[in-house]
Amino acid sequence: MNIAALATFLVFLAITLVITIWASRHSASRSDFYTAGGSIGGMQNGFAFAGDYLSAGVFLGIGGLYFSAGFDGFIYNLGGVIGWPILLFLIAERLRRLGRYTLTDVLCLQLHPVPVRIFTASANLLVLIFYMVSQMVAAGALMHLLLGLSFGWSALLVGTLMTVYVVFGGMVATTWVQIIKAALLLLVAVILAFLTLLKFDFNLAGIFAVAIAKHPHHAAIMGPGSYVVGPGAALSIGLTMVCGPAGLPHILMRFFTVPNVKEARRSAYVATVIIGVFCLLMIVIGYGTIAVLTGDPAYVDAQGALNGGGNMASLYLAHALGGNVFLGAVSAVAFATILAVVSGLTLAAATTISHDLYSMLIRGGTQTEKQEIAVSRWAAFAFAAVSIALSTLFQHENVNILAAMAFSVAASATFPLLILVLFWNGLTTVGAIAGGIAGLVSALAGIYVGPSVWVGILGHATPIFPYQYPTIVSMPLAFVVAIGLSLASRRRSPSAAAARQAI
Amino acid sequence: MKHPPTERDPPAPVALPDNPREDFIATAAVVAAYFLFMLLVGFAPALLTRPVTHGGSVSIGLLLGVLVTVFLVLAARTYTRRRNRAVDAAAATIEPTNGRRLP
Repeated sequence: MNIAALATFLVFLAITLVITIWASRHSASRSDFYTAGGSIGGMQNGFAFAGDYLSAGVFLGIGGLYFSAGFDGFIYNLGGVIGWPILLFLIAERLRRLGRYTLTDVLCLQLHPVPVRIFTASANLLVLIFYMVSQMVAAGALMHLLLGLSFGWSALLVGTLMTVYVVFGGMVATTWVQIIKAALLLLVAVILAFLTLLKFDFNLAGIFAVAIAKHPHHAAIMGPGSYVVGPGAALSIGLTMVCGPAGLPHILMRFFTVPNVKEARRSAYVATVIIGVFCLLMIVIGYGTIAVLTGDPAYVDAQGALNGGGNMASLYLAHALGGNVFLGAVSAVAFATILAVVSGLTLAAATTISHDLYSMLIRGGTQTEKQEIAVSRWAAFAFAAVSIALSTLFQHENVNILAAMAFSVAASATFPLLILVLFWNGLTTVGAIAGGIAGLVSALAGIYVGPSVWVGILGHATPIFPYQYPTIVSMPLAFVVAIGLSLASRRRSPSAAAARQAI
Repeated sequence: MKHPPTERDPPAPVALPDNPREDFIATAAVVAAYFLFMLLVGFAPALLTRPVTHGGSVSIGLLLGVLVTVFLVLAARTYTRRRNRAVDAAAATIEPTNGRRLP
């Protein structure tokens, strides 16, 4: 057991639990629980936004991608930046004006609430559970490597802690856990990039030169490689990354935690800056992993692969440059990262179940705030239990597929509805539901017959659909079906324009 | 953890400056920059792999990628500053209503 890892993690745990206790005394109302009573500042919320995106998958996964393929790591990382300006320019202000707690509230302002709530809540829960399982499986693998903890114990530890944060601290605790973790992760990235530069006398081009000399693909690592091949794959990844974040429920919810539109804008801007800076730091760290680790028998085997899997690249770099103490600190931050992200997901799921389904759909808004919060807490418990069970089931699967599914479904099922309801007066309930279902089903089907599942899991020789992300087909399909059926059903079903007039 | 009290959103019909044209221009700019880069990734990977200077190690792709990242951040900064300043300017013109409803 790494003492530095344990110490860093215990400090993180102590601070976040104190905040949770503080928050539990101050979150009495529904709006406190779901959206921190709108009391979070723009700067803080920006950090929390960045924390939502900067999962362990990003820090460890992209480090691994750089190590194996170089430039492809950058392509994936840049995809994480582009979603935020889009959220800022198109979504932030409009969502703030129309909604209170969730995206579903906004859709229901203009459409028939019953079918819309059932559909968006189901799509949101699906997105959240995919994302959740991918994070839990990553946490299990990390804990196993670092502390020798078995998968079951690790899942139980993560599950218990996130439930405590959410059930007792609601959005206030969840947000502060996210802020602290984002700041820690940024600090770790800055130190790691600094140490890498220090080793090469602050000569960035020198790092690239050594990486080119050592990597088996040599100069090819400075350009697109084996992961993103051809225009179709590039466009499909691009579309998923542009539209995915705007369809993720735990991200959209965060726009309601700030007091006004100004702070909402500022928070999306701060998130863009942090994620952009992180993307630039990862260039140094990523190529640093190639330059430092390649050929070192302490970290790679005879074939040149990293011991313990590709995700260990960033962690090994920390060990090579800062010894056991720094490795411990970085590992603990990576674990805190997972914990923070799953807490955000759990809160979003609890809100979907208690607010969108129970309160507005089943009780028609007749329950008291106390009852709704109680349901929300039970929902958090249930969601945590289901996540632990599913992640145990999927612990040996490639978790990147699950994360890809979450983004694809968000970009294909939720994003088109959000855009249409905000920008087009003609959307009808029939069109929205049909378009959403078309996007959802085609996204899942596309992943099933794509390279990850059809070839990777089912063992067929060639995929029926060529790209990892089906968004290039499924998202336009959702738009076409939603618009087409809205136009066809306009006479019978009142359109958004009529509802907007009423407001 | 406590924040200074900030203004809440004004109740619905009080107009905040809404400038959809600016939103679309900003969106088009960042989407164009990003997809231009992704199209080069898709269609011209060899060009992106080429070093910027002869014999150097920094590739055209990496340089362009860094420029796109910086552009996205600067676009977000410019937009946020412009729009938030517009909110302040509009708020300054609203007279205090002493609790009476605005017409």
